[in-house]
This record gives sequence, structure tokens and C-alpha cells, in this order.
Amino acid sequence: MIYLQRNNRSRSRKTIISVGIIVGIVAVIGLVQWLFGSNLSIGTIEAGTSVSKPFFVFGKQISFATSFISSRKTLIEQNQALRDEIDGLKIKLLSFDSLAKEHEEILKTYNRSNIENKVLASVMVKPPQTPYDTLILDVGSENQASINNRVYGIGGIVLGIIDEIGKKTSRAVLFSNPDRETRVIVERTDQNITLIGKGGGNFEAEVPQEVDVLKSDTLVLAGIRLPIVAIVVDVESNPASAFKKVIARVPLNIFNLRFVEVETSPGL
Amino acid sequence: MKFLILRIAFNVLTFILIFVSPWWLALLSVFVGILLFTNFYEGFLFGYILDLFYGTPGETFYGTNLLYVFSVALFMLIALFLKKRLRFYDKWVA
Repeated sequence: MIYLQRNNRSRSRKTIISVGIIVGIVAVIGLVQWLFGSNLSIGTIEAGTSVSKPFFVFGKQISFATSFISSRKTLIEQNQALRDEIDGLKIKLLSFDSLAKEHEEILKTYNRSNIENKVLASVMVKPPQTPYDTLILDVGSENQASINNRVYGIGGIVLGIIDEIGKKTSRAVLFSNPDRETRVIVERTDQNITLIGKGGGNFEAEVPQEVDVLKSDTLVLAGIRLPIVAIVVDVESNPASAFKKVIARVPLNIFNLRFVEVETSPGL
Repeated sequence: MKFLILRIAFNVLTFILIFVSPWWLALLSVFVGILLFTNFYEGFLFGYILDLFYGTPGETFYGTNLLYVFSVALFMLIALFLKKRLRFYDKWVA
């Protein structure tokens, strides 16, 4: 049998060169990232949003057009469900208004203000398109937003902070970003726990068995306003262990976010 | 010439996918590019753009914030050895 002779030496030389090029490119990118990473990042966000903006607007128009095609029956059902929800919320709001007024009065007595400035931002890019629980927003330094300002969802739920900022765009990193640690307070018991982001709006925390945390407990950030961060959805307790695992979740769907509020002045 | 046009079109498509599609689709497109084209080094550029656009400082890949670049490098190394061992590969590579 005749075997074709292969030029192994030439092939292995080519492989070594290719591997060398790959390693070289990674090293160059690493150096560029180290030197100019932050500046390049915001530049990319600004350029990227101008690329994605036409698609974003087009997507909005498509969803508007398809809403006309929705079946009449579904619309009637949705309408009724929303009416019921509004009625329930109206009742809740009545008690909330009086409590908010009372809270404001108490703060005034102690010379602390409850008023904070916020600007409405449209969410350009959100999870699951973004891999690390980040949002690209259409507000920037021109709208008085700045780095580390908080980002709120509907109902004053604090979602994260501004991480990178450009003139007209910014990137917000959510507290649920994987491995991100956030100190919160269990609203019912005033105990401190540290939440660790798990991505997709989920959190985990490992606390001693003695810590009083129950399902449906509200977890808030420390401060005058106590904004809600997450709701406890499960507590896994093992009698053999000294710790228990708390699983919490952002009380709104971060995959359906269309608008958020961005703080324009640092909180008190 | 035909392959060059195909490659440019593929690059433009991948670039747009980075900003308008989920991250995994853009990354998949880069991986397809690595398999389809020889020396697809522009994949690193796409990987870096993905890192710059979506990455959060100090929290990905041991603080380097270059998760996609390393993914592209790893896949390129795998493809390098894979391409040699596939007999049918030369017929459809561009």
C-alpha cells in the first residue's frame, strides 16, 4: 500500500506560527484593555447604541403593528384583568399616599429630604441580549446622570447603578450581576445580609441559621428611603448545616424592562 | 474574489448582530466565522467589541474583563487542530 508522505515539519511550523499569532493578539488586546479599557468601553457603547437604535425603533413599531392583529377575545380578557388589577392597586395606593405623607413629615422634622431627582431613561439593550445583567440606557452626562447613580425600575425598586457614562448613553450594572455583592437589610427584622448576584435578576445569600429570614420578606438598601432590592422567594435550610441559603429575586421582570428611572443627584 | 465578498458580508452581519441580537447569537456567528474562513483573526475584534459593550469592569474572567476574547482564542485554538483532522474541510472552507 502506498501512503502519501505528509510534510509534518512544515505543518507543525504553521501551527506554531498560528498559535503564536493568537497568543500575540490576545496579549495586544490585554495591553490595550489595560491602558484604554474604560475610554474604549464608553466609546463602544455610544457607537453601539447608534447602530442598534434603528433596530430598536423598528422593533417598537413592529410590536405596535402586531398589537392590532391580537385577537379581540384576548384583548377583552386582558382589559378585564387590568381593570381588576387597577381597582386593587387604587385601594393600596390610598393607604400608601397617607403613609408617604406621614414619612415625609417625619423626615422634615429631622431636616432630611425625601425628594430625589430622577430622569426617565429608555432601555436600549437589556438581558438576555446582555450577558452579565447590564442595561444600556439612552441617558448620559447631558441628562445630569453620573457614575454610581442608582437606577430604579417601576415602583421605586432599585435595580443597580450606572457603571459607564457617555454624553447621551450610559451602561447600568444590575445588583443581580453574577458574583456582585450587595449589602441589604431584611425590612421585617432590620438584620443585615449580603446578597450575591446570580444573574437574571436572581440573588443568593448564605446566612447563619439564627438569622430570621422568611419567604416573601422584603430586602431593602440601607438609607433614608429604603428602596426595595429583592423579595425572598425561598429559604433552604439544612439542620446539619450552621448556615441556610436565602434565594431572592428582583420583584419585576428585568427581561421586559422598557423604561427605568436614573437618579440625577446622589441619595441622602 | 467571491470568498472575499462573502467574508466582508459575513463580517458586516456579525458586527450588526453584536448590537441587535442576544450575546450568544453574536458569539455563535464569530465561531461560525472561525470555522468557515481561514485565519479569521477579525473574530478577536468582535470578541473585544462584545467585551467592551457588555462587560462590567473587574467582574469577568479573573478581573481581566476579556471573557469573549479568551473564548474566541480558545475556540480558534480548537478549530486550528480540528480543521486539520477533518478530511472534508477543504471543500467548503472559504
